[in-house]
Amino acid sequence: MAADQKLTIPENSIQWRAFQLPKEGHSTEEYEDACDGNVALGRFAVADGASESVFARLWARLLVKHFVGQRCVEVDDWHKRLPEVQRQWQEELASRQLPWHAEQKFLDGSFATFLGLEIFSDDSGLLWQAVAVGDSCLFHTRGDRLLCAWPLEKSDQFNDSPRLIGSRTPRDEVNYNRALWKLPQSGAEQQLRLIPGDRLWLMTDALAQWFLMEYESGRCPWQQIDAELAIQFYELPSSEHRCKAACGSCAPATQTGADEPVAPETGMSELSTTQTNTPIMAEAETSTPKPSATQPNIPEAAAKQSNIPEPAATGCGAAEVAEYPQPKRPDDRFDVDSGAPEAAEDQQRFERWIGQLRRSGRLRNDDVTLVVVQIV
Amino acid sequence: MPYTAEISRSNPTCFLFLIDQSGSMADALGDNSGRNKAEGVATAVNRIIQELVYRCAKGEHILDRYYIGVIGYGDELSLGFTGDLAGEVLCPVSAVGNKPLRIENRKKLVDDGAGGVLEQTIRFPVWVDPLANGGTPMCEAIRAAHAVISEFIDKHPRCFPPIVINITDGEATDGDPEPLADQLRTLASEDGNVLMMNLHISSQAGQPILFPASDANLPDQYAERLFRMSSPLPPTMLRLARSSYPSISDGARGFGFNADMASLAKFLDIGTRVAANR
Repeated sequence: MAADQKLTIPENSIQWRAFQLPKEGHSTEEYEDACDGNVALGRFAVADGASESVFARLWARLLVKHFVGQRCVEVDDWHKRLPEVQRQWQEELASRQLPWHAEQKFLDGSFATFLGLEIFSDDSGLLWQAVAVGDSCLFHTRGDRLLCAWPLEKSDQFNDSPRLIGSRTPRDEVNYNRALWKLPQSGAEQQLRLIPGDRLWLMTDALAQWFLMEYESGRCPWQQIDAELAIQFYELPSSEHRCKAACGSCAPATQTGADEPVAPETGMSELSTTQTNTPIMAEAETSTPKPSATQPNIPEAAAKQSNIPEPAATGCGAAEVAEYPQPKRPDDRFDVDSGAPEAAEDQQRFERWIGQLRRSGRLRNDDVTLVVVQIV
Repeated sequence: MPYTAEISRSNPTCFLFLIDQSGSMADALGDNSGRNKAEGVATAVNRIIQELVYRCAKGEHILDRYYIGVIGYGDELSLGFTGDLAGEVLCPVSAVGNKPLRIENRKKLVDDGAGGVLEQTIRFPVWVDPLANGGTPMCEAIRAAHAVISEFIDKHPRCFPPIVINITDGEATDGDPEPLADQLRTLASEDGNVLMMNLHISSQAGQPILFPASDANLPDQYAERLFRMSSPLPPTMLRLARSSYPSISDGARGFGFNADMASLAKFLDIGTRVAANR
């Protein structure tokens, strides 16, 4: 959709929460994923820095910050603006006196996967679109159904050599045609509608692979996550517009217009009628397992849970909002605003749960990043 | 499954180089480069150490995911690095990376992107200098390695199995090293047996051979013996090796003949790999 057709996202229609954890046995300094979000712009992103490359963490962070912070960067043209991020990366490092081992690798550049999500609004409600390079994945769920798994849709599609974006790769040589995926695909009429209660899950590869394996075994991993974490969404005041580029086209984000609630019923039909055109879409209507209380592998809490998550289900009432009024609270450990106060209980539950999954051998030991976006 | 332990700061592994510094290493290499075998060996070791350091480099820092050590064997056994690193046989990789003997400027030919080559100056850290003196006490070196590795495994029982890399022209003068190598490979952490690699640096001309699965094309009995002394690459390493060497066979051993073994560092699983889409 062209930029001029997009409407400002209605206030308080999106909540989000980010969870991050380094590899077992690794410290947070070794964590090389990155994630960020911007409710006002409806932008969310995760990136997975390739640990074999140097300064990958910096590169991953710059990629997500650039994407979520700049309204002027259209999702369609996002890759054309990459030289801006590459320049930031170079400038950040060029002034440093680098040791021999960093110098050579600086010349080689840094590498990362990337997944960017934009939620936007038109006359009929909220929609989403996304770009991806590599094996960081996005899942769209509605109640007990997985509507979309993207860009990978099967757990056996993960391997050791995901597509990566390089901090030095020349623009016209990045093989974007092969490496860059976009949903909806260019030229397609497909629209990806969102209704209240929908969730979008952004994950780096290890957790995404676990998610798809669970799904392939007939389980609902998103409900497992919900049951394990009891995610606490915190309503943050809208971020200020963070575009640093003097691009002219960047009007500050405002919260005007579209006070009406979004029309919920428009979503499903749009999605289910268009999905057949897109092979990477999961079979929303036919093959999604319907969990029941008798299904043995679903945690009890998940099985009991309502299929459609309640908007603002857990702990994000007015009292909590008042208690955490500051929009930007840098997370000391990850230098990312994870959408919640530090040491939030759900982050602790996340760490425990990921630890259990790793020890059980069901989750590959890798950096784990999860961003959950909920439509209210 | 063996050979799947995480290589991390909390569970480091180690690499121990056994370096032939005997008199025969003064003979010329078989590649008409004008260099002698001692220079070939020193360059091989320095290249592998460089790659090992790269694998642990994070920004300007080096994470101690493993230890690196050297044992030279020639006139006498020399345990450990020289210079600032002298002391323990095994040094943390951060110390190794930060304290080479010196950093040389070397010329390297690189593709200029237009069908030609450009000469580029690169910084080349040096930890080991060429030496060629006396006999070849390879057996003594393997015994010393046995002691060093045993101690390391005692301290790090869950580690990814230590890797011993023996670089030699193959002609031991203190007996048959094969039974000692067999014993060395029986040492094991909870994650599997010690891996022994052998790099044969020879005066014979011929195509470099790397990670063969059989001794069929090896040039002499010394190469054949070193092949037998070499561990098969475990499946986890074999899988990663295939991204650099797609044609590598099942049963490939950690053996090279006049070859550059620096790619070995890439056979270890340390995070997301940079292969595609550079």
